[in-house]
Amino acid sequence: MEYNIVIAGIGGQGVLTIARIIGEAALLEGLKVRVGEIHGLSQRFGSLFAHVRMGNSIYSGLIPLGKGDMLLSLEPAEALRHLQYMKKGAILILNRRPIEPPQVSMELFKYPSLEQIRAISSEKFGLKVLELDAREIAEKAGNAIAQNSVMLGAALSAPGIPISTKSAISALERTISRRFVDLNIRALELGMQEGRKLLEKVF
Amino acid sequence: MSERILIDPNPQKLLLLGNEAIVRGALEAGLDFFAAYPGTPSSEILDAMLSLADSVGIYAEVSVNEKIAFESCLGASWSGLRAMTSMKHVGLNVAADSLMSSAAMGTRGGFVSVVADDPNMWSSQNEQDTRLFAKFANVPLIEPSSPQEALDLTKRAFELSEKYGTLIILRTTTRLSHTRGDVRTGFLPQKIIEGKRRVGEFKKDPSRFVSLPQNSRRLKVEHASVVKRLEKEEGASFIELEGDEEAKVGIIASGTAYGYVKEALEWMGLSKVRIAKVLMPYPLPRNPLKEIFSNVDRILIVEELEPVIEEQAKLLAFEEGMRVEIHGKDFVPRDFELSPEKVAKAIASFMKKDLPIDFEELESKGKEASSLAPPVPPTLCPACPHRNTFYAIRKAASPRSIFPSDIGCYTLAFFPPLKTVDTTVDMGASISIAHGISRSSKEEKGKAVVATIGDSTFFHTGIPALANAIANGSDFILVVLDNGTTAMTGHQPNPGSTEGTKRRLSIEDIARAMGADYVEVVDPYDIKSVEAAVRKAMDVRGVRVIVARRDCALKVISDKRRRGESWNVYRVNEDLCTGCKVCINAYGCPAIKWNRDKRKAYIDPELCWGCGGCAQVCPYNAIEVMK
Repeated sequence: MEYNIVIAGIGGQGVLTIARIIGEAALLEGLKVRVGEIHGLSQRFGSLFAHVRMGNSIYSGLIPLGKGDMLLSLEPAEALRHLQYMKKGAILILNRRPIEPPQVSMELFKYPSLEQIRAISSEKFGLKVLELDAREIAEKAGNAIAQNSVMLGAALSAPGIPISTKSAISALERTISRRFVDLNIRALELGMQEGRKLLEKVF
Repeated sequence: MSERILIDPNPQKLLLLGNEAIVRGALEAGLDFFAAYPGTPSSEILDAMLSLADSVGIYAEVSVNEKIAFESCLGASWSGLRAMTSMKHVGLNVAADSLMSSAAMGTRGGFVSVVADDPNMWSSQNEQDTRLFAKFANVPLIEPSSPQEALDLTKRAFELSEKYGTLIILRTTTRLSHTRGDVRTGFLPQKIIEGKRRVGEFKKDPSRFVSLPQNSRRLKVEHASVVKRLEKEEGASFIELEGDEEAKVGIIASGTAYGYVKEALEWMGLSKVRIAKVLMPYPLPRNPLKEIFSNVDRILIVEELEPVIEEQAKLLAFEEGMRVEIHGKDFVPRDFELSPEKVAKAIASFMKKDLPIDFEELESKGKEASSLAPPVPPTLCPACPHRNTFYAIRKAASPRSIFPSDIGCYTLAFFPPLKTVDTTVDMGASISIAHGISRSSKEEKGKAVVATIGDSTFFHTGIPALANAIANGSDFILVVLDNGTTAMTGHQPNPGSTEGTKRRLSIEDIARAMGADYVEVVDPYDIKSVEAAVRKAMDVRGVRVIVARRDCALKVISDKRRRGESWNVYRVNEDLCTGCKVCINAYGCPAIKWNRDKRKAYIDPELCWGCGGCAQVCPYNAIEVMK
């Protein structure tokens, strides 16, 4: 068994926190885990990613090209940088909210449309695309700050992911500050519901 | 995150970063003394030590630079305590004088120096291989390949250091330091559990601890024999042999490359291979390798960066007259970080096999897709005081001015729109380069040399450079970007910080005491005052020092978030906004975006940290506090 997730986003969005929670949850499931992170310079609002790997024959923190099972993208355009890591039929969970970088505000670069991102992901790479507005759902749960947990919840709803809701919640409790735990559990549950709804359409 | 999990007395399975595993290993070894200067990818070791020191009874400090950290540990080791320092690869350059001069003098209490290399230069100015430094100084170097080995080998390094009386270097790379993995911890010694601080005692031994030529000549020869003995006696335990004993093909790998090799072989279904994992790349253990050499016809050495194992292995085969064919960098890339694909490609072509996937097709499709994603270079945070300072410098000094800068977050002012970084070499070089430029260029009106340096970097190696510039009658403006912390690496304190120091040092007092010709302290949140100070400084000759002081916004905001406090958020008044884009094209705060349809700026309230700099910058007073 091997399950590989790429988490992509912009520094400050909580890429490393999600990676950490999934990693802790996998440990609770008794799996061998590797989480490859990038710290330092890249975290200053730059493009950022983490690789989460679970399984018996995992020896490195990097997912080989074409072996990813899931791409969890906290920002739509960021997904485009990691598609080559996915295998055919892998799942892309896409947060619909763009964070336009300065280059776009300065009109030096055009931000791709959601249709474009969706088309490339599904047609060129054969991914199943699940698209949601994590911020809107997080606000329903009580606070936009819980966007990450919405994304995590959507990820948990995917078939084949070797993480139970119970482990994910325990990992969340171990990882984030106590004051925000309830809010994040609510967001996670809403994310799961949304994920299941979207999955019905895809499969 | 809480470092408390690292001091659970009982063995258990934890998900640890490579760096955290090193901390746990040092604690299990009964560490007494820790000193370091932060640097990505090593910084989490220092963070954990600082936060745990009191409860486990170890001495821990943030030293002003790596040389001083190294020498402090040397003093502790010579007093019989177990000491550890950690640094990034370029930090070892700063400590190189101490390393080269003290290597042969040896240790008393175990002394382990963790050095984290950064292949691919994720957050570094260069790519260098610390294993070459180990060979250069003739110091044994140990390299783990997983978080579990990081723990185990750190522990082992202390034992070896004491047994053989030599410094041990523990080398990691970014990919190991920042990979989390399942780690089975061991027991903590009683001393750590009880948090009792051990007291050392320095026993004089001038014939060993004084580096006069008469001593150094003898020590060099003695130490060389110690390293030889260590290789002979311990070498076998630092090479793990696995795979098919009958195989005619062998692969030797170390560090993270070992993981890529294991996965590549499995991926391609290749099992007729003998594998050797090298845990001590210098000195390379001879006997276990001779055993492989005599059983296989061809060997591929897979190592990241320089051919350190390869060259020793080839030499060994030559000396032993063995006819094995040894390959390495002719198949494995020498530049940048390795990856599972690079290693799979190297193995496939070495073994004349097909690749498991058409990487080239995937890579070119991937390139095509990523070319549509806008570039997102790292940038100064919203409300970063440095942005305001750089903006003011640009307004005050003509574009023909020269802007030497330094190592830290503020190097990001290299990117548009600020573009106020013309040179960056290494820690402290802003001041010496400014000195060199100003002493060698013709002076022109309106063309100033304005150097920038952060507070932590100023204390690291800026002070001697400033002394040199003033004593040699130089002529430039130095702006010290003082945000009261070492922000880039995760907010470690420095001598100028108000928290985390025993006594705070004042940068302006230091500049005055050195005899700077003009010294002024300004608040970057008042952009006009910074601009005025730079203009005033331009009318003065000599070395002029401006301290731009305001706490790091990232730290202020995370503290506020933790305490549940709120802050002012700014907004664009659309009636007043003319769409001139000064806030975007000249100031460049990442919270300010552009509405293409309305042709007006807007502020993302989630990203605004409320410094109000944009309101000062807007020529039409269109930016105001959101009610």
